[in-house]
Amino acid sequence: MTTETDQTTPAVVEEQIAFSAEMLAELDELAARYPTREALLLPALWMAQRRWGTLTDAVLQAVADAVPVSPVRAKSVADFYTMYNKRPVGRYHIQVCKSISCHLAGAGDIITLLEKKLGISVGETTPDGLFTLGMAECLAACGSCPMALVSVDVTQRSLPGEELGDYFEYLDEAAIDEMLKKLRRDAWEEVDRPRLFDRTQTYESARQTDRPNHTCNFGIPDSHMLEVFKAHGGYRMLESALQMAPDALVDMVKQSGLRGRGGAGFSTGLKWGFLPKESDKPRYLVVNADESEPGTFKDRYLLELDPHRLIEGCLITCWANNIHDCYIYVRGEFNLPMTRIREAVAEAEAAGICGDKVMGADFSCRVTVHSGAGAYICGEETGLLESLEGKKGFPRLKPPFPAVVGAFGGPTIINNVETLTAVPWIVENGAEAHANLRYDEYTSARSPGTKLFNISGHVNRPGMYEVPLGIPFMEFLNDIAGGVRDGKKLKAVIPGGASAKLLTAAEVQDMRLDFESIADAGSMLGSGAIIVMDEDTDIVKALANVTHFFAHETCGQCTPCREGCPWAATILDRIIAGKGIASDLDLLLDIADGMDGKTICALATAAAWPLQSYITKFRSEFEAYIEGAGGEASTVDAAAVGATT
Amino acid sequence: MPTVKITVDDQELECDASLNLIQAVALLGIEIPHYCWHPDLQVSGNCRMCLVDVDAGRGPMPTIACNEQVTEGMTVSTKNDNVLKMREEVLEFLFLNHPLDCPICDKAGECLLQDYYQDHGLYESRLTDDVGKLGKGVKATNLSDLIVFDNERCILCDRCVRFCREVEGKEELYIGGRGSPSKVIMFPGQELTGEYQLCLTDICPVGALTSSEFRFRKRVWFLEKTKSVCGLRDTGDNILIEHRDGKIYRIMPRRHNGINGVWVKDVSRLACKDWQADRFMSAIQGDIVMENDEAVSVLADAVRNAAAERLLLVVDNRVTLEEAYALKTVFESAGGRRFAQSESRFAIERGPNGHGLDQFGFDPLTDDMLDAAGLVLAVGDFKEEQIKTFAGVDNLYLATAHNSLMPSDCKLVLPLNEHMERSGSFVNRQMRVQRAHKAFDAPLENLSGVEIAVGIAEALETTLGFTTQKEAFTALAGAHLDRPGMRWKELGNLGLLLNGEPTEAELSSIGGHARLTWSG
Repeated sequence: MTTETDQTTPAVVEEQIAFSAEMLAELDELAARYPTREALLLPALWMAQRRWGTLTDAVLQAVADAVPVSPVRAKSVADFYTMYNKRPVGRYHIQVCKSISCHLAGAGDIITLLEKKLGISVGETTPDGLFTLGMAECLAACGSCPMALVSVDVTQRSLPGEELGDYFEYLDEAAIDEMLKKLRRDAWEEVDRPRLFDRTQTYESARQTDRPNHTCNFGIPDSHMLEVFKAHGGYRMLESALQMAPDALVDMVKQSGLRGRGGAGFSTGLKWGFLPKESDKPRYLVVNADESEPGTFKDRYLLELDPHRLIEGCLITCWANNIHDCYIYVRGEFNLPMTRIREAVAEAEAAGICGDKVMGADFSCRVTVHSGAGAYICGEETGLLESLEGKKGFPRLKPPFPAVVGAFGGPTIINNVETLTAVPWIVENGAEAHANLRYDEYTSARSPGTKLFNISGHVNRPGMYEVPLGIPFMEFLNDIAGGVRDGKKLKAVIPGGASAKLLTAAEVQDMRLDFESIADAGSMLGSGAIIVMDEDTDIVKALANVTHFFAHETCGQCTPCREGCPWAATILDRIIAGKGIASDLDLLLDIADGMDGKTICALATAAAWPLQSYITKFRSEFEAYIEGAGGEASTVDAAAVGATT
Repeated sequence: MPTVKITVDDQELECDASLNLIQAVALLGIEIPHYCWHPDLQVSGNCRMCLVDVDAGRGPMPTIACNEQVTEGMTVSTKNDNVLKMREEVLEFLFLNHPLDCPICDKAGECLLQDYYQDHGLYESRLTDDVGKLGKGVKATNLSDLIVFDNERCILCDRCVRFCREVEGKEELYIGGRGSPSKVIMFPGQELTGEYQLCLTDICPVGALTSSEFRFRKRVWFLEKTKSVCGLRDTGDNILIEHRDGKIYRIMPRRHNGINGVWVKDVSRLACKDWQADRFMSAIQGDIVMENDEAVSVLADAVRNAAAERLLLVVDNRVTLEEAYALKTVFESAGGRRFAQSESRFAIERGPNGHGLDQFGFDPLTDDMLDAAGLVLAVGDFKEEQIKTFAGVDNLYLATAHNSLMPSDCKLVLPLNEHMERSGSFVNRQMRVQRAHKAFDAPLENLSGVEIAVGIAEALETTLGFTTQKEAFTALAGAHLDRPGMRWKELGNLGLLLNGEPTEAELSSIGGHARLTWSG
């Protein structure tokens, strides 16, 4: 018999979900860097995710109160970006990249392996709460794939600094076993995480030019540190530039022939020139470091290995254009690059290089690093501006163009990282030197300078190479990238990222790597992301992969893109599942036609071009699938489509 | 305003340089189909339905008409093969995710998706896959007591989101998610709090947002539409009474750029429920029901026999100008000099005609007036507090439209008709005289104030100089509005501003879809 004791259960104190005084203070400090409080929404969502792990409705309400914005907006913005956890995830959230380069490198097998070893399917969490398995679209590690981003729930297990995870590249069964074994005992630091320049490429090999610019500091120990950068001539060009008249600098960049390295290839000097000379509103420089185009991974290394070069380029650009505020928008998946650029900005601020009185001159310029949260569309410049302002990355109607009405309503220059890291070199060597810098006399005069090319897919030496524009493609492929893997024959090439039209082996034989030559061949230089497909490549599956990418990344604003991308992806899945019908190919081309050039931004066009080029150039491969099918069309199980989580 | 010359489908057009292409080509009677664009909301440009070929000097380019301002020399094709194909493509995309539930959808008959499919679609379906339907759901949800949301019908045009933000000034709706699974969301646990929620059902181009009041009650093509003005407030909001067989099914906004644009508050639109409830329909004297003619002559006798200086006419602020004027005129002919107004219990602010009554010399009703009165004729539906003050009045005659709240000892009660049962004029807070048309007859033989006045005049063997509402208007226009000889018809759709000139904005009623710009 037991006597009843007065058992008082400890009162369950329901945690009040609200930003703490410390968090609010951090937010207020950040607020000083933005002209509106609304711009704090993305940073505040990040803070909330660090603090509470999952962005539940109660957490979103707390975020909305703290910023402040309406709660429905906080929810809608959180919904839009893939990196915000709306549902609980495990301590380690493994997101395997499934985009085209990873696909060609066998990402599908990696996912199957992980499902087997974890005993869960994509989208699920292990019963012990340790791992969640997901898939992600291009994570900008195409030269070192297959790979995965592993995000860590820092409410359970802290990481040094502000990092929230890391890339695990060169995944194979052994690497996965090692990763899972060590993570199971929380030995995060012990997991070997080889990088491109540790494994398949040397720093020296990145410099495939006698006048390297972007890569000249690669390989110097601690090249990301201010002291090292300065010891190698860093910030001297900023000093020189501050002695020059701003207009002369704009003119210099115009004369240099530098063209934007983000994809469109527009003249950088002309773009700067569009900024009105006088404006009532503050003017901004916004750096597009939302590198997400499948096949592209150059900006990542510029941020990791030489962040001060970017800052120097930014400050020169700001001086030239009478700008006092610069935002560097870095994609949220970049952990190390984000850390490096944040640290570099802090170093530069402490050293009086940016902030009030840049290098002691009568010129103030503030540089702020802003983190994205997982959305390809934010690489579109006006989608990026919306995101910077604390909204969903919906591209804006143009006109007005950003040069007139850009960030926070002010005239704005938006440049790619690589474009800006070219600027100090131009100041150092002069416009003429840059204008004359090309591979040989056959290079288009409108394509001067060196360019970072990223080559991935079926090549022996995938990687990042700085070459003078105009280098013959076959020379680049065979001499620099080591040729097609395993001695296979070349089948097709995507020359400028997944958005570019596919070129056949025949079409690239005499093509050079410059803007005009690639355009003449029927595609575009884009971001310089070359994806190589060998003779064994299944073009139908490659197209399905690329189309799923766009279906996942369409912002959903414009009808043709929102509806057309997933429709096309569904049809392609059905064809692959052996249920294609004869009219499917013409229907796919019609869908492409309905998207091409019909939307606010170029994403729909970028989705249409692969449909058009793959089907037109390799129609027989599609027909083979359909003829082999022999059945009637029926609906495809949505689970088989493999939507990205 | 500067003008530009453009060419539209081989026709020359000179128009205001501030117009966009949808507005400009509308001047030629050409409709460019559109979903997301709305003349009273900011441009969004997402639906792509208004794509046309525009050549502004660099060759024809597919361009959305809603975001394209006209420029000199511009050439526009709104119906070439390319444009027709683009429309068909957009429709095909929209229909991928839209259910074919028109037979049970309240929007059917005034749905832009339906209309434009008839005009620009009519293609053979090529849909063999289940695209995007998963996860969209088919269950309707309530966004408030008034608004029902059927997500599966939504085409994500963003109009409702912009309406809440720009018109209501409340960020309550947003498009959540990304890409194909996007949907309009509210924050969990919240509901719409705006005062113009029913306008969401007007601007929704499809049947995604419907009114819980109207849902499943009438197919829109059976509704007759009568132009009227708000019968509740003193704003003079322009409305359409939509009715059938003597019953109002809904009140819709009617564009007046000088007053309400195309927005009308929910209270004004829901007021019609009160108008139709609890009607008083036959004249009574004590317990005796009598014919209207007989009742009017009883009233006329009483007026004749009362001391002229002790006659008092009281009207509520929902009577028409014609009624007030006719009753006042007949009282004056009998020597009456006291005229008062009191608030209707079916009105807020100054009511639809409080300002007009001021103009006609109807003073606010006071207890002193009642104390001094020997005979009171009260016309309207008065508030409870006011009705209590009628208690001590010796000879109270009442004309009222509703049963409830009747003073206890009336000598006689006449059945009065309601706002939608008579034509007449009202003066809003801008001092603008506007017309309200009769939608349908009263349930039995309810009388208008004009009919009562004319009946009294006949019994008194005097003449008012008019016998109808329209004649009464011409008479009052001369007597009180400084517009001798003006006919009622001449008030038109803009109305008559008594102390000012109409603005440019209200003179231009260029808009988009006919339903939103309807001005008859």
